[in-house]
Parts: sequence; structure tokens; C-alpha cells
Amino acid sequence: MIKQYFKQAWQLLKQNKLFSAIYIIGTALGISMVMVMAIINYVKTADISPEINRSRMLYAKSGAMAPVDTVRFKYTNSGSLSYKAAKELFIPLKTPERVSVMMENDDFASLPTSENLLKVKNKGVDTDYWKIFQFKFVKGKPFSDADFASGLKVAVICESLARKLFNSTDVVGQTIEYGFKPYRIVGVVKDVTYVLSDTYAQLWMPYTSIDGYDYIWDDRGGMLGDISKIFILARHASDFDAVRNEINNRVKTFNAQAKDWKLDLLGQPDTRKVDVNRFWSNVGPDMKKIKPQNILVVLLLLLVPAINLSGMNSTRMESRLGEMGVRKSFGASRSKLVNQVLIENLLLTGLGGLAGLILSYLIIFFTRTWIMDLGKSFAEVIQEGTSVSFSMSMLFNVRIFLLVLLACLAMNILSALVPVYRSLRKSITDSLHIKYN
Amino acid sequence: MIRHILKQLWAQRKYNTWIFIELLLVFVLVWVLADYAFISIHNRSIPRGFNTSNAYMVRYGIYGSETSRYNPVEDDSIKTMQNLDLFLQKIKFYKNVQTAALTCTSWGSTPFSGGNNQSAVINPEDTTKVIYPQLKNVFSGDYFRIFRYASSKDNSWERIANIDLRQNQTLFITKQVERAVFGNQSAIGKKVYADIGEGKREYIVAEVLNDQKRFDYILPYGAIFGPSELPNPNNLEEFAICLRTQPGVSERQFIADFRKEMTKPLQIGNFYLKEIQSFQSIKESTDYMFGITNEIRLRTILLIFFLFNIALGIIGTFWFRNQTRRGEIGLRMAMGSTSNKIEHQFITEALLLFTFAVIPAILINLAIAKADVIKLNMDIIMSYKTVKGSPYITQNAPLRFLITNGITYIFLSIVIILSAWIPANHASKVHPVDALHDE
Repeated sequence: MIKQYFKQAWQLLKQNKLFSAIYIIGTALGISMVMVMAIINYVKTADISPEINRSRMLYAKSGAMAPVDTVRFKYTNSGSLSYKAAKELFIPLKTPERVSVMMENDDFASLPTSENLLKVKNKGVDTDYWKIFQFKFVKGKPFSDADFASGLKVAVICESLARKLFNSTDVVGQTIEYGFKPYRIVGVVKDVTYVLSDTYAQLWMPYTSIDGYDYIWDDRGGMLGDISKIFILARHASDFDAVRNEINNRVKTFNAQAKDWKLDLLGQPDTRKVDVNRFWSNVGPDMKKIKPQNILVVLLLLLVPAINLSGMNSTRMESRLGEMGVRKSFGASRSKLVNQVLIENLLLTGLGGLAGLILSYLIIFFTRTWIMDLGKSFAEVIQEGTSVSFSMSMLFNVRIFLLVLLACLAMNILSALVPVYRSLRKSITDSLHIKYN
Repeated sequence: MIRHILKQLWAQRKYNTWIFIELLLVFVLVWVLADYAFISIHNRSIPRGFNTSNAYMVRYGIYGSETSRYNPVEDDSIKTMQNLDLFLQKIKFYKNVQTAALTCTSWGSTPFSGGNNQSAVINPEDTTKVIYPQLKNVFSGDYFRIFRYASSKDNSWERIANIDLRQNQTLFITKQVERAVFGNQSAIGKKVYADIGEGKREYIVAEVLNDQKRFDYILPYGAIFGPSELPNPNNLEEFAICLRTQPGVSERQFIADFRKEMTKPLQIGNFYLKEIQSFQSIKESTDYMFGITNEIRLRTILLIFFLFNIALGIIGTFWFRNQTRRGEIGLRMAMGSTSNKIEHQFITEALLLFTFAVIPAILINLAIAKADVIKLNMDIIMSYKTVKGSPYITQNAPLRFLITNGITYIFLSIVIILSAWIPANHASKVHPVDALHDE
């Protein structure tokens, strides 16, 4: 029976090319917008290599300091956390599997005495960083605990930087200069795409090799400083509350002893979903507002084209009233007819969905340098000559395809159910009569 | 004619409902976009109060003692300042450079910087008259020759460049600050309290400058110009070299040549050329960082999306309706209607339908404006509140509401006329005999 419906639908599609074209384009527009949102969301939050553990990770990056003596100081201060804060509150945590601290910078990379200076992105990290994230080492391996502990100037670099400077990836043991300071290369990793911001860099080094990484500013209890992110890998996502408790207890202890400034983490550590929405250090993201907002946007993006299609469906149903009348007079029930039209319609929406998915890939391709920053209240400017790519697994995966299917079904029901139902309400005689109108 | 069309619309109300709802919804959504576009374009049309075309910033780096290229012999304070001066002189005499000067860049002192240092300016005779303008630290008069902040009296930057801000505790203020602190009186020669980094003190206003904007997309922002710290080996990070080229020099070419020809000559002592950037690209970076570039892109995408949808909707609905109305069209033509008249009728039908949808849509817009919910987390002022005494139409809420709804109406009308014309034209090309045959 369903096969019959599809055959008929295909005939209808061919008969009325313009209608089909407008219908498919209309559907594709709505679906493509939703798909772009879905892909962005997927890239930002899913477990993607090398950030394979996002679903059991917690993140912290900033703190807000309030004075103990509100008469003496009448202001609060907020910013990135300091190494002292990481050392007192995060690094000694017992509940999580691992904790990693990251500092970021950019400066020139070069060969010693060479005039050829390349601006590169650098991450100062620890040894746990390499265990939390799954980098693919082409040559060598991460720096060791001993290297890290003694603050040795050693570096892991990415493949493309190795090629640019040495014309080879076989460079373990060679010297590279970063900020005109010599570093010994211990490993070469495959390039990480720009869109994965926790792991994207050209050069990684122990943060202990950076001068003044542990500098303590006298002000604000020494808790604000240069750390760009702290990664906490829980043993399991269900441990999140236990980890939070442990951190909160430490904050409480710190605040109880604080003389001048008390620390507020403003709801951190964050899950990945919250972390991607946290832009400011003085106020956390209001997820209660952001979630319904996103749902509203998706609904609007589907609803506007759906109303369009409803209008077109209702005129089309009108021209098929005669057919429906005949079917009815031969005993077809209304629910059977509704089903038939919905399934026929699904063919059109399915084609529209496919076109929409392809359109969304095109949009992502042409906007790849900035699409991930859409909707951010604070975005980093991309460096000249950085190539941005989306991997196949980011675009072609079960989660995305299921979403297309879901969006198509929603679109189909939104756009066809009401007009079909309305037109089938008419009595047989009316339907048959209208045919000759 | 109109009455006839109204009857038609009513008779077809069942099919018109969908497109009616869509037009209503899209009008509201497009209005939100048009409102932002209006404010954004309005603000951009206000003069910046300075001029950065042909202006560039050159950043120097200094090899520290831990780097491999460090030269300890060049590291005493006298040599450092001498080398810096040599660095500057070489740039001054580079081809096509008109003016080059050491410039204090701290906290938004140079144009389009993301930094912002606000500082109170108070009328000493009436301390209730306070404003918190942006503080710009000026190292030398060349600052005005490069960025062309100009006097409000004669629009001259050359004259004010010759005034020494370091003498007699003087300041320049913009017109906005003058209005806030002195009302309609001239501020020149008057005293104000201000804190430009040395604690609250009394300063004399030496000159009133044109209003200036912090960013292109916002309204003018009050500013005061005071003397900066003097450079010494410990604060060189707060300085950079700004320059202006002769007019007509291509930016791409200048930067490429400069990097190629000056990298080596500018290795002076422990100084090296770190970066050269045009102020145009500094502006673009700041807009990107603050999310403005992407906000505009997002809104453009949404606008195109909505327009496409109503175009498809109008074309689709009218195409099929016209097909079912072929008999009617044939009859009209047989009765002597020209194809022009028929096109005209269809387009009027679409426009009338749109106009009906606009009435409730405007009521919704009114509710949105009253609730003041289209504010943004950015410097651009979107709040629907009238600011008393403001010279800008965007701060007159009723006027802004009228204008933006008007723009939306006209804009969407054009789209609707264009999309209704396609099926109307198609229908009117039918031969009356063919059309009547269907009957």
C-alpha cells in the first residue's frame, strides 16, 4: 500500500513541476537553517577527536572577587583565574580522574637566527592534558612528568608548522624558537582544526616553562591571573555533583580564611553545554533563558516555511478534492486518506530535507571561518592564513542524520496535517461537486 | 475595483488564511531586523569625529634577556631610548610616510581600540554637572595630525596639534562633554575637575573638539584628551608608533612593502618590528571581537531567509489560485480586460492582503516596543525609550517606531509586488479562448 502511495506521489511530483520545485525549495530552506544550528551545536558539544571526553568533562575559566570589607572596597573585580587559584582549588581534587590547567598565548615561532617569523598559537599545558585529549602523534611523544616538573623548555608542535619551518616532520630533538626562546621538540602531532578551540594550537609546551606562570598578584587575593582554562575529567558524568561539591568545599575554606577578597566561581565548573555559553567573567550564562531562546529560534525557522507549505498544500488539496471524493464514496476512511496524503507529502519533504542538508553543508563550507563564532558576545579574531576545516565525522554522523529526519517529520506534520484534515472534512457530495467547478 | 478585490479576498479567505498568517509573522520578524538595521545605519552615518584612512599602527617588540637574540650591551636605559628614537626616525623617513609619531596606546587612547577608560569630568562651580567620558592619553601633538580629531570651531587639527597639553594643566574636551558640564556656555578657558591618572585635579579646557565615536555603530561618546605618561624603558609596552601615509597609497601594497623592506632595518638594538596594521583592519578586528560583524551577518542571513519564504509563499499561493481561476480570467479578457489590467488586479490583491496582515502585525510590534525586549548585550543602544533632549531620531521612540515600520512596509511591498507579478504575468498571457475552454 505504502509503495502505491509513493508511486502516486512520484507521479504527482512529476505532473506539477513548479509546485514540486517551490515545495522542495521551501522545505530545504527551513531544514538547512535548523541543520546549520545542529551542526554548530554538534561541533561545539559532542565528543570529537581529540576532544573525545567532553561528555564527562567540567570546565572552569574565571572568577569574581568581592571584598570582605565592603566599607573599605566598594567594587568587585573579575577575570581569568590565576595559577594560585588552580593550585589551591583544582589541581589537588580527589574525585575527578584528572585535572589539567591551560594557558594560551601567541607569538613568533622561528628557527634560531632565522628571519622567517611565523605567528603561531601556543598552549601552555601539563602532562594530564595529553591524557584527557587524544592527540595523534606523528613523531615522538608528549613531554614527561619530569620535563614538566623541572620547567624544561620542550615543545610539541603540529605537523604543518614542522613542514613550514623544517620541510619535514621528522624533527624530534631539533630546536625551535618560540618568542625567540629556544625549545627542544619532543613530539609532532597531527594538526587540530581551528573549530576545536580547547585543542587547536601549533605549539604546546609545559606551562612551567613560561616565565612568571606562578606569579601572584598582591591584589584580589592573588586568585586572578593568566589561566585560560581548567579541564576536569570526571570518572563518569554522574560524578559531576561530587566534583562540584569538592570544589565548593575548597572555595568555602578559602573564603573562610580570606582577609580581603572572597572568591565566587559563579556556578563553575561548567558542563560543556554551559561552558560554550560563558563569555564574561563577571556574570555567568543564564541557561534558563538560553535554552528556550534556542528552541524558539528553531521553531520559528521551521514554522515560517511550514506556514508557506500549508498554504500550498491547501490549494493542492483543493484540486484533488474530486479524487478524494471518489475514494471516499468507495469506502476509504478519513484516517486512511489523511495517512495517504501525509505519506505522499513525506516524499516531497524528504527530498526537501535532503536538499536542505546539502544546502547546510554548503553554508558551513562557505562560512567556515566565522560560522562557529555566530551568536558569541566575544569572539577571537582568526589569524591570517589559518585554514579552517570541518572533518567528515562532524558533518556526516548519525546524530545529524536523525535530526534531519526528525525535522522533516515535524515539517511534514506542521505543513500538511491541518490543510488535509480541513479539506477532508467536506462531505462526499461536496467533494464530487467541486470537481466540476 | 478595490471593492471588487476585497470581495475576491473574502471569497478566497480559506486559502488566504495561510499566507495572511505568514505575512503577519514575517512582518513582525522583518521589523525586528529593520529596526536594528535602521539604528545601525543611522549611527554609522554620524561623522566619526576622526579620520583613520591612510593611518597605520606599527608595534615594536623588545628582545628580553632570556631570548636568544638579546644584546646586553644595548639594554641600558639611555641606549634603549636612543634606539627607540632611531626606530621612529627610520619610519618617519620611509617612503610615502607623511607623519609618524610615538603614540600612547593605553586603554582606548587610539581609535577603534577595544579598551575603554572612563573618567569623571566635573564642573567645579556646580558639582552636580558630571559626565563620564572616555579618557584619551595623548603623547604629542602629532596624535591630532595622524587621527585628525579636529576643533569644533574651525575643523582644524593642525592648529590644535600645536597646543602643548603638558603646559599649564590643559585638556581638550568634545562638544558632548561641554554640553553636559557647561550647558550652552563655551567651555574654552574654563576650569574642570578631572582625573587623568594623576588623581583628581583642576584642568583648564584649552579647546573643544567635534563629537567623536568609540565605534562606528554607536552614538557619539564623550571624550577628553589629556597628556599621557612620558615613555621610559619600563612602560614601552603602552606605546606604539602610529603613522599616516600620503593619500592614495594602497594599503595592501604599503604593508607588504613595509614588512619586506623594513624588517631588517628596524632591528635596532633589542627592538624589532613586531606588527604593522592599518586602522581599518584594527576596526574590523574589534568589530569581530565584539560580535558585531557576526551579528550583522546573522541578521542578513535571517532577512534573506524570511524574504525567500514570503516570495515562495506568494508565488506558490497565487500561482495555484490563478490556475483554478483560469475561467474567471478568460471571462474577464473576453469582456475586454487587457492583460495589464489583470496583472494589476492580481498585484493589488496581494498588496491588499499584505496590508490587512500588517495591521495586527503593527500592534504586535507595538507590544514588543513597549515591553522593550529587543535590547542587545552590546554597546549599540536598542532600548525603546525616548531620551529627552537627544538630537538623534533613534532616541525618539514614537518616531523610530513609525520610521522602522514604514521601512518594513515599503520593503516588503516591493518583494510582494515582484513575487505576485510572476504568476500574474503568467496568468494574463493566457489566450481567452483557452481559458474559457476550461470552463
